[in-house]
Amino acid sequence: MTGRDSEERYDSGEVLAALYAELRRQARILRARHVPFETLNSTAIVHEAYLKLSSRENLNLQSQEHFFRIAARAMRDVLVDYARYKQAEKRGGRAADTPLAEIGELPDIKDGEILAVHDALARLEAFDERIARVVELRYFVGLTIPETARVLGISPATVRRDWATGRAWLQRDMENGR
Amino acid sequence: MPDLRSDQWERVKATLDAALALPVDDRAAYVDDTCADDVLVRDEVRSLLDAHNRASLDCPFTRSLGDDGGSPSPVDAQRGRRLGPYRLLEPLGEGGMGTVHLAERADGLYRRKVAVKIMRHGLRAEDERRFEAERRILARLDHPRIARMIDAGTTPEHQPYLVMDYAAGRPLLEACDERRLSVRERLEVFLAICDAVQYAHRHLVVHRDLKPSNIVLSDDGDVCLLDFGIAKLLEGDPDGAQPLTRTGMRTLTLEYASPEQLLGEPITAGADIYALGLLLYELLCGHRPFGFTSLSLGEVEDRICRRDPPPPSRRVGEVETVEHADVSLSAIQPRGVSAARSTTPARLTQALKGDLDVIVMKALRKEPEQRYHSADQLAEDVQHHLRGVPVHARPATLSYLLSRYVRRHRVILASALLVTAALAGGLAATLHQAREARSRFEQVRSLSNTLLFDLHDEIRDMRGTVRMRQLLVSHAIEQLDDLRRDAADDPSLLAEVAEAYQRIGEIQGDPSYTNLGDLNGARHQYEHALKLWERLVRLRPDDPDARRALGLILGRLALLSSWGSDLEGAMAHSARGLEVLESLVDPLRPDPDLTYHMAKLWSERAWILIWSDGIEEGNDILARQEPVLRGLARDHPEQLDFQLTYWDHCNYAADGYRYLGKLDEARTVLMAGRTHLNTLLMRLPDHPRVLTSLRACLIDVGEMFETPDPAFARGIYREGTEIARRLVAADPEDQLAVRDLGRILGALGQIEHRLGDGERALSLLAEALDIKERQQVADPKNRSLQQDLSVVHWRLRQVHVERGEFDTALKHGLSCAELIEAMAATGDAGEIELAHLAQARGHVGQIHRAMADRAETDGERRRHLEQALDWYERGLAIFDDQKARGVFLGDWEVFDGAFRREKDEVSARLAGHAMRR
Repeated sequence: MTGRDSEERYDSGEVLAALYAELRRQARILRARHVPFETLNSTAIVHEAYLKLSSRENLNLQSQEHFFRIAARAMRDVLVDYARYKQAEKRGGRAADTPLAEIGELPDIKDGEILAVHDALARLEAFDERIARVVELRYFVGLTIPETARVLGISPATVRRDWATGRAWLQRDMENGR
Repeated sequence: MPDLRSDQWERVKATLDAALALPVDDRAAYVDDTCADDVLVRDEVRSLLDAHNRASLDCPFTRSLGDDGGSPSPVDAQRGRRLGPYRLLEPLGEGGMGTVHLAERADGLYRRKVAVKIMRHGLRAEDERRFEAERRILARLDHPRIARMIDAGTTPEHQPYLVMDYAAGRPLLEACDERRLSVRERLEVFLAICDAVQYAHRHLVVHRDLKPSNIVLSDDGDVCLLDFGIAKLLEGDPDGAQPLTRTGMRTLTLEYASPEQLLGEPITAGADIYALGLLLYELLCGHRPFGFTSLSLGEVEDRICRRDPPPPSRRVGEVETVEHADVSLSAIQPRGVSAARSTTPARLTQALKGDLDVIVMKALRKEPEQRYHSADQLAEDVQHHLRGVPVHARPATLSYLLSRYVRRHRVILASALLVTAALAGGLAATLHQAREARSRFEQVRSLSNTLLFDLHDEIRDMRGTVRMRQLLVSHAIEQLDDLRRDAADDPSLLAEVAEAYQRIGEIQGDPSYTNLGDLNGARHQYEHALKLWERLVRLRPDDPDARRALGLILGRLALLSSWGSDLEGAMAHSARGLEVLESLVDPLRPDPDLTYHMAKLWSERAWILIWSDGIEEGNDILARQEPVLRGLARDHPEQLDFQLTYWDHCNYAADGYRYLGKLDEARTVLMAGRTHLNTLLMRLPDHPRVLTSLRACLIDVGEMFETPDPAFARGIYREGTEIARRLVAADPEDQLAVRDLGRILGALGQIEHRLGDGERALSLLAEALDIKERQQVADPKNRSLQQDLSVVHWRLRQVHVERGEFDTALKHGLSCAELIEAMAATGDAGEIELAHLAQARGHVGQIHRAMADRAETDGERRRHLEQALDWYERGLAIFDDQKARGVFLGDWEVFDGAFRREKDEVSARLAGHAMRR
């Protein structure tokens, strides 16, 4: 991966805040339009957050790739956070303080799967960082193979291979883990 | 998982990858073979291969860009399967939505082949009824070029499937290329497509996913559109009801998506028009409008929603590398593209330049309402192009109109060239020769008049022609100044030159028309015209036409002077004008045109009176003229001038009522004006003069309803914003349109804030600020622009204060005060303006006072209190001065009182600070 420490333009706290802000905004729009939340679009959220942050400085592709690398992790945190919140709610409790509380009603997403993927991914990244990043961008942000390749600075063929391997590995891990 | 060393893991990955490239049945053997030396690696690969076949992980939130290498689904395994009465024969393809199979009736009821589309995602129980309803609507589409929906059902796995006519043929673009169809032949195919789309639109079905792969060209050259309305069937109604699947935007093909689809806005037939534009683009030049290959999704969205693509003609010469879904690459090259159209790159570029570029670009406008309104309209323009008559989409430029004109009337070309030569070479030289050859002079003069008048009249009411009119004006003034000297004693020439000056003044800056915003220039031309008419009346005292013209130019000058704040001059011109027209009245011969001009002059005079000191007299005049103007408008519906003048009259009357404080009456008369204009707009949709009047009307109506009914005012402003945007988009050079757009946005922003939508308010105000700042930079001395800008800052200050964002509020408060101060410093500041300055300063004081409450240190608090005190005092000094001069108005007492109380309180706090020290 290139450029990881060459230009830390965005700190992750800032990125996270921007993602939450965008999520809040989309949630409000969707509620206002009475569209059920299945249309929650994490790719759009990340892009919007990027546009917002990047409007402060000159836009360049390099910084966008950098942003996406950070945002993948941040989006994962947001969604995992939400999945936990949802599960706590199902059990009749309330999750600890989370920015999601401000967001209000959220979609019925696959919280179980999200948490399982998150845990399995934690095990995978212990020995194959690159595959974990590919899965993160594909699963949590929804990037396509060419997009993922650009963000990570590797070839599309490598992404395709990593995605196939990662998917298989996660599938097996989640089956065993449950 | 067993613990593997990192080199073993690398080997696992490589082997797995190689195995996946093999047919399913060969994989196990390959793995056993390759990894015979390392059991750990072998078992791991086998276990992962096994898991791979079950893996279903996919991003749960987002759209997929077609099949990009996730899991190849076993399409082939469906062969021979039975779904309802149908038996699947062979797979036809696989896409984002699902798989398509060729099928036939298993019960042998009929032998015709059908296409069965099995969706990837299942339906929820509650969606099934809607799915069924939509399906029925689609089943009613019956058009030879639309693949009919025959049946639908659900597989045992709860996947919906659709049964459709099977259209044999090749995908549109490939087929056209293979047959090397020429541009003309492609346009004919395109017309057939438009026809089918129009048919569906008439039946209220929008395709939503129109793209080349959804259109096939059969062997006998007929087109057939597939998947009509399917996208909606699967996505559900984005405006309200439940979506039919959990796919969200997944099924959308990004490359063929319209801006509104990406932005999640309501989808109308406009999306199909856009798709037709994309289709035509690619049909013609072989490229898609946007090269997405090396772009991130964000950039793709930016292209689609915000950037204009280059016109197709410019793409012909390009070499473009395209990336396919399977990550393979190929190149589009000029030679290949033109060969597929049976021509050469140069000829192809030439063929696309002009009409076709413009037609495509109009279909591809970002705003649906700016596109063609229907597929028929688009088709009509293509037909016009094929026949060589002007197309609607084409902005009317002098050279375009001439070129179309010349194309159709080659005979006249010779004389037109003469005029063009005369214009280019300077008319003076021509005139000099003309004196010696009178007949030639006459010829030149009349032709130049034709060019100036007829052409101008023809384009005046077209939108987007300001720039061209500007060109005409500067050319024409030069010539007229020469002609004026030559015309001294020639009555017929005098009249023509006078009229020409008048027209030019109108184009340049007459506020009653869409104009170039040059008030002084206009006045200058009008004064020339006035002198010429006066001379003519002296030469021919009994010529009624000359006197009428003299009366009219005096009326125009009166209005223009009042716009330029020269009220005395305005009243004098108006009185003289009325006197001249009065002398023409013949009670035995009614002349509606004369009646109209007199009533108009009277009501304009009344308006000037209202603005100076004669409000009562003005209102009386208006009351007398109302029935006259209403009657004229009613009896002469064909006279646009009569119609618009009636609205002007309502507008003046409303002003009169407002100044007398009779607000309900003002509202009533403005609403009558609005109704009048809306009725007119129905008859003349898109007419720029009607739109311009309506824009002004809506601003006034909105303003009047802000207090009693803010929600209604908001609706009015939104309507006004939409109209103002249409006018600006049609003609970005029209300064009045831009100015009003800025004003409405500002007013709308304020109202949105009041009604609780702070975010929207701020974004509207930001847009208003941007517009006003740009206008101010372009024309820094324009007072009304400065005023507008100060109002926007005023509003932003207010919104930010109420949101507790004091830093930003302070910035706007200071800008506002600064602007008003600069205006006041130029001298002739009115008392109202000075009072505004007093208020603006007091507001800055208030912000500092609020900031003092929030200050964290004593020092900071003190500083803010001192600043507050200073600003309050500076503001109050103005009020004090006004009181001393006896011009302080009761309206301002509220501010004066509040500022004084707050100032005293701030002083007391400061004293407390001092004591604590």
